[in-house]
Amino acid sequence: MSAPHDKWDTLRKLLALKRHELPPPGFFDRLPDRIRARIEAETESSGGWAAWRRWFNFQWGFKPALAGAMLAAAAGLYVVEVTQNPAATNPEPRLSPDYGLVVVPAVVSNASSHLLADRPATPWTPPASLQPHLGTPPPPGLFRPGAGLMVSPAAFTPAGASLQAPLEPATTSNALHQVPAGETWPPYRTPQK
Amino acid sequence: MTAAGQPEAAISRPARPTPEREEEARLVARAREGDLAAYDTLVRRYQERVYATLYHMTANHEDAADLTQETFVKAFRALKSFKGHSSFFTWIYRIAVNKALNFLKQRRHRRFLSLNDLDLRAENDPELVELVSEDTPRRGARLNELQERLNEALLKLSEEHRMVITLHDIQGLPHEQISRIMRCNVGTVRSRLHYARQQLQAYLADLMP
Repeated sequence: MSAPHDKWDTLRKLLALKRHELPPPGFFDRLPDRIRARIEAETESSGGWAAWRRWFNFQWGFKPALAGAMLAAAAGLYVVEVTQNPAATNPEPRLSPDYGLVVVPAVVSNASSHLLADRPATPWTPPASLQPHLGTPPPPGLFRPGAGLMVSPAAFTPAGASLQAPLEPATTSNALHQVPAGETWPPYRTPQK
Repeated sequence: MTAAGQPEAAISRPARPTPEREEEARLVARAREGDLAAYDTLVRRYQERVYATLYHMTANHEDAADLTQETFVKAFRALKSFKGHSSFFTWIYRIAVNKALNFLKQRRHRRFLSLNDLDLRAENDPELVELVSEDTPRRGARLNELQERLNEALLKLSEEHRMVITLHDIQGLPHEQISRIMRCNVGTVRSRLHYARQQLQAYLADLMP
């Protein structure tokens, strides 16, 4: 029976045989190029996000805390911009200098005047289409505290006179139509019996 | 000398700032910034030892070549996580060891040998000449037979025991460095080494004097 030392010595020599096992000739000359090509191929295939991230890493070094801080700063700037300038997200409509309604007067021809004469006398209110939303000032007390309602008194023309009178040109005034006080418009006629 | 021709004393040298380590640190820093030429230098410096470890673990050239590539590619991607607490050599060895262990766990069901050719100088190695007493043209065949028997015995060991034998008895790494690579204490390395040698001696009993 051989001594343990002899056995170990034989095993050590056998294991030394392993050091003589070599890869095919030229393997170690080609390996770095293969590794480099693989890194470059993976870099290209990973797309724009990876390229951006590499650029970011190269410029600043990837620091999650820094990225989070930059994101928070950008969000903060956005919030400040919105609160300081609400027009940025909800632009206020441009109003006329006197904040009046933008009114487009109706054009009534002489040929159609008899149709109006047959109508019953009812209080006339401008249709909704004549009160465009963009031309309406904000309600008092909500956006402009203390400001009163800007109401222009209604005025009417005497019976028959208004239809003959030339129409006034279009205006942006809040006065719908100037009618002498005490008279109605459209003219009211008592039904003929 | 180790398998890669590096003196064992050089590997076991404690990690202190030497010109070599400083140059390596500069190369690592450049590679971290995406400098592939710098990384190329690191690859050429360590490829033989990484390949040898993976080859002795897998006993297959193709597998070892693939794993070596994967090791270096993964290391390049993970350079950001390399803090420099250990040497780059230890760090990349650790990646290679993990690659090998994962690969062997997946490959456990198949065992085959596809051995590399022996270096022609092996036949003139005095220690091997002593092993193969025949001084005839059959010596090469005898060496190949020994190689095959040895690899079969190595493949019978567990992955951890084979790794310790590979790193210590074949590549010549010191216990301390193996413990850092395998993330275990030195006592565990010594224990595994002792048990692995005993098993190998049992498997190769008919070759023992």
